[in-house]
Amino acid sequence: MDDHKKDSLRSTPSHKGLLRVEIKLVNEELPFSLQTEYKNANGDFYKVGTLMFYLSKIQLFNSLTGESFQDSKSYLIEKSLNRTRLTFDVGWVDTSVVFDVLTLGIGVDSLQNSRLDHKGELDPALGMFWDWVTGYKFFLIEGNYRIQNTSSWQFFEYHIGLNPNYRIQRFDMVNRKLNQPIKFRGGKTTTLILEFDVAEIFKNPHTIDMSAVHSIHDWKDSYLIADNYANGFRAFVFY
Amino acid sequence: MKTKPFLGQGCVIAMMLLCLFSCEKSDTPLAAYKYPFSWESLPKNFPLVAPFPDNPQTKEGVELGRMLFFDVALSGANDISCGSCHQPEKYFSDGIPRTNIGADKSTLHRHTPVIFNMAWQNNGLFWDGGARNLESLSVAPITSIHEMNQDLKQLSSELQNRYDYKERFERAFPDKKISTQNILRALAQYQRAIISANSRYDKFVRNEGERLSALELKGLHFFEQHCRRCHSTDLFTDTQFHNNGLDSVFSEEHERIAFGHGRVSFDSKDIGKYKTPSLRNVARTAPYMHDGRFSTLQEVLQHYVNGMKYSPTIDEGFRRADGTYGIALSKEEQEAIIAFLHTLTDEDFLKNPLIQNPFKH
Ligand code: HEC
Ligand code: HEC
Repeated sequence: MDDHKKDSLRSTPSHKGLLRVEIKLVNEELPFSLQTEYKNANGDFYKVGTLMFYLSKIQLFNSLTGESFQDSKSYLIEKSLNRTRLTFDVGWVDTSVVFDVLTLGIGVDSLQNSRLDHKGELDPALGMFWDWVTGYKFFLIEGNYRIQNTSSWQFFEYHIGLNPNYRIQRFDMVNRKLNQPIKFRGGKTTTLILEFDVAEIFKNPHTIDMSAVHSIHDWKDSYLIADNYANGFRAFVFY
Repeated sequence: MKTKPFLGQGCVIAMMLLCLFSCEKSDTPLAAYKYPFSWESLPKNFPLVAPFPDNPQTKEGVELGRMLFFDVALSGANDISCGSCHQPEKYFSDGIPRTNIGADKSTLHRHTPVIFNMAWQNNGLFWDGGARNLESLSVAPITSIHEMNQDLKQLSSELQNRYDYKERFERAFPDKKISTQNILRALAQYQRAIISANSRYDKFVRNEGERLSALELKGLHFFEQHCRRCHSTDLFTDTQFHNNGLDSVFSEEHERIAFGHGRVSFDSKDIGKYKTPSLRNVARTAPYMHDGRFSTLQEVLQHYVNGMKYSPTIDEGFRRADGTYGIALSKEEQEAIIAFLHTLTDEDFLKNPLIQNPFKH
């Protein structure tokens, strides 16, 4: 992270623009906030205390020319009572190319995930690792849930990791996950807004019954949740 | 005094000399010893091992790792170190079935394994193979509330003003920082430098003038016949996972800890399988098996002969003509095998000053 800060302060090259990513958390179109009661697709209620996940390998492509911008790092996103970390700078991108495809991984790719002795965003001191098997937690959400027609709040936690749960997502205008092409102007910042709908975690394609799945006991459960959150992202750029 | 290569063949002799002349001299400064880690000069009877390009070994790294391994600052309450459980005088195990000296004083589910010849263990660490490499493994004991219960961020900052760590990290790593990354790497470098290759058996197979008795040779013969397929090579482990018939059911309790390798591979064919432990120094490292259930080698042999329990993943190589499982060994044959296992004890290991607790002198 320090390196990125330094990068962005460095004298700005005139033929490159800075790619900044800003995560916008929503819950079914409305701004998301911690400890707020929401209703899920199954009709139960949830409040979130901590939300953390990794985004990795951000890549931009021009689908006609094949030109690309590739970043290999991982970035930890966090919204918790301790820390809010929703924005990061990726790097300087050529202004001569217009990009119509964005891909990124949710989680940590298998090579990085095979060891924990990393620095920066992947420093295990940030707490996103498993101790019983080598690897990172890709996605973590913790909070409370209440089954409809009951009054008591219970704890829930979904910690998702392991290589099969690393999800590469593609954003373009055809799948309507990107609103318009991504362009850069010399010395200027292009902010990519990555909207994540928290409600999707419980919804699509698998409706989650939180009375049955309130923590991950079985790897089958983790695949369901990973399928769902992978679906929850949309990308926007505005000029 | 200075020593020549510490690892491998040439160094076996150097190590013995070193012990003859300097083992008693506890006031010898650490800096007097040298660690040239040359992966070309490893014990001649050991398989080849690939180097570790992600974490190249240096003398400074190993010495720093050794300090960290024995430093109680790695625990949240500054009361235990890695060496509290992995004790050098017990071949880095602890002599009890399942320890409870961790931060919350709970009894751990598994027996503390020995640590030596780790550079050759590249097929998964822990009894179940869950850890992929030594660098990553240390995160678990350091942070676990059942073990050292330390916060990694706090650890890095605590070490800034402790002893001469600042200079040691500077010397050991290119980025010179006291960081989680470098703590993990130093610990791994030290653990890879813990090598046991100087038992009577080693000197026998390397033709260094050692002889085995008739009984020991008979034991070796039966061992080759019945045990070597898993306790293979001169590391005495194939580093694979097998079910040697300890249990018939594997509980789902405690996050399926009893599933063994099946817990980390998510494959039901691996349920109840555990990593083959090395049998080096085994006469000194009781109790035995992943939960320390057997307290003597006699009990272990009894298990292999007539204590095996069937479960679907049991190793089919143990199947006898009558459909039962076990190895047919007479009392004499068992005793011969045990006599042979005693030849795997490496006495020099205990005297090697380069791997000892540097705080205890
Ligand atoms: C409280 C006792 C305790 C402490 C402290 C402890 N360990 Fe362990 N260690 C164990 C136990 C028990 C196991 C077996 C765990 C398992 O397999 O599930 C183990 C396993 C290991 C293994 C795996 C060996 C193999 O053959 O697979 C290594 C390596 C290891 N520990 C290194 C360390 C290091 C490095 C530290 C300090 C950072 C440390 N341990 C601290 C008890 C301890
Ligand atoms: C099919 C592979 C296999 C064969 C054959 C085999 N073992 Fe083992 N052995 C293992 C495994 C796996 C373990 C660890 C099991 C566990 O802890 O769950 C083990 C554990 C042991 C241990 C305990 C070591 C320790 O440090 O805890 C001893 C001693 C032992 N075996 C001796 C023998 C002898 C002697 C023979 C031959 C008579 C033999 N084994 C044959 C796979 C095998």
